[in-house]
Amino acid sequence: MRRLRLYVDDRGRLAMNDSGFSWLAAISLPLWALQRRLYVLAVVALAVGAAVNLGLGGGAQAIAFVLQFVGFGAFANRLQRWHLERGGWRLTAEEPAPTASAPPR
Amino acid sequence: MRDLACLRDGVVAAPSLGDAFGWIVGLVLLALAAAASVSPIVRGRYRARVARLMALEQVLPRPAAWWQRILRGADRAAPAAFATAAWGVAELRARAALVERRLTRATLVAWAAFAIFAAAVAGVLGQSQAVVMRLADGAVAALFAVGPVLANLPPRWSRHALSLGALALAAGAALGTAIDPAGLDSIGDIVLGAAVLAVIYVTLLHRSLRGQVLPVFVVTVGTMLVLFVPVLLFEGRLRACDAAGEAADPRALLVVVLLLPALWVGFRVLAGVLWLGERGWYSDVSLPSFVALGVGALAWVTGAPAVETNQVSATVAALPVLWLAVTALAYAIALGRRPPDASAPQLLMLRVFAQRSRQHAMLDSIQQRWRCVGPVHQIGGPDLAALNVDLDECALYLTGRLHERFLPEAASATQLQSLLRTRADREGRFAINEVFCFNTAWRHTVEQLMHLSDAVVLDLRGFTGHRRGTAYEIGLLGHAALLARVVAIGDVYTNWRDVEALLHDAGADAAQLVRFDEREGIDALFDRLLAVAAR
Repeated sequence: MRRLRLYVDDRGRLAMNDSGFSWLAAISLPLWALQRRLYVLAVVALAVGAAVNLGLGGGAQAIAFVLQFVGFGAFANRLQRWHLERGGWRLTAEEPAPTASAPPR
Repeated sequence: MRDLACLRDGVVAAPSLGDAFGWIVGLVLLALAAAASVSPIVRGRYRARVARLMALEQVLPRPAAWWQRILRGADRAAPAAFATAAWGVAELRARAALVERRLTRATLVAWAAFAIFAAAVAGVLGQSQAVVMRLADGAVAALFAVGPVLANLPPRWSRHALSLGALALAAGAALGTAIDPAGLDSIGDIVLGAAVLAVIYVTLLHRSLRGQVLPVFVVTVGTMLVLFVPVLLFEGRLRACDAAGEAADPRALLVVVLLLPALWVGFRVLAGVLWLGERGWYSDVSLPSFVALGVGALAWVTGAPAVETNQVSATVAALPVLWLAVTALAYAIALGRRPPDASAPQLLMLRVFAQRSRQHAMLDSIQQRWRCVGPVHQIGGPDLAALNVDLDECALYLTGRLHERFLPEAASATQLQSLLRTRADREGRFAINEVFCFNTAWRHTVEQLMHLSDAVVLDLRGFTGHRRGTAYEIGLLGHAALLARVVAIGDVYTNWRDVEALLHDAGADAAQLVRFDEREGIDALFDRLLAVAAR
């Protein structure tokens, strides 16, 4: 079950974390990182992407793409959460666990 | 590792002005097509994100630094508009009429300027300079502009912008074909041009798409220009690499290297547009019309004989910008001076979160009309999100920061007031304030909004007692003795017995509630609300 979590630091900055597979990270890790203001990661991901593009042949590129797609998609959100909690960010809001019948508005 | 020396050694042929103009036009139209294609997806994702954020529960209060940051950019002068003031119905009606007349006058003047410009530049574009042909050119341009013009007029006209605009566009295409000296040979071009303009119409003027299309378009144009213009400029060197067979795909490498700077530039352009909007330079209604006119002008110049025969001068390349500038200047001059800030009655819209377009249409009509009188407040929800999403909200969504817009907990009355935009923009329209709340904040926030507002429209179409959120609001209105400010809209599905029971439980007299049947129409509803707001 996907769950949104919102973290805050002492300076009042917010960071959103979603659980589960991230399609955006799978398709483009730099874009995913930019959305979360992880600029260093965005640059590194882009550099790695360029290196893969230049350094590998066609078949190896395809394998690398599949591995990146699955790996980044599956682990990006978990790594972000780990990074936030390790960096002293505190949970300020979260999505409640789903109930059988949420009241309609 | 491949040798990229070919990029350094290749021959660079300077592109002609015609080539550069063609690239830019192509990229702009491509960006519009891309924005139009993804906007329905963005709309759906935006709605889903709003719905998920609304369900969040706060578990830890925000630090003071967060409150200071979100209040820093708020409208400091807003509380002045909450000062006690008195208005009569006649005065409010006169105010609305004045704003509508001013907008109508300015829009028609801008329309005339747009059409006259087309006739005036016929010679520069290599078109016939005969007076009759110039008039015909002006008429075609005027027909093209019907949609954007209608969209900027008061609601009784703007709701027909798409249908009447499409008819006018077809008429313009027919007239353009008839007066084209190339005759039947250019029918394909005319059809292509009409198709491009039709896409512009639908995406930029569609009520529930334009809020998403514009920001995506602005970002995409900025990004694509930074990304692809260097590739096109270095085409000669890239071809040298192709010929040498050195680098597998130097174009892809260039795109990868430029991707992040290009995205940064795209979002900076959007930030610049937002900056202008925050200072009241345009309203969320007029901007799509101007963008549609701008893209139309670009398409017009591109299809002109001077460009088709590759005789593009600097004047011709600058014409679309000049054309739009003249139109905007005419609009600004016709609008005249900004009206002085005055206290304005505020409308609160409470409703069942329904997904029926008929319900949305009536609420949209009433909020568009009320904007000529005063600001409109509402709790942001997924139902009206697509209609009311503005550039700022969509930009926040695209950058993954939409949660910044949500109140996490009960804000003080002063904090809430400072977050609401209560001043009219330069065109005289007041804002629609969507107040987004987490689940832990909306009850207190809606109560405060009830006390701040002079009139409350309570949309109970489709209401039954199991709609807990709306039931809570009805009880709140009863408890706070605010029924005198309320006009409740009902339809055949409204369970009025449940409403009466809720008011009875709240200790209020249900007879005080002004009921309104949706079949009475929007004009009658507007009059009722004016009467309620008048003191």
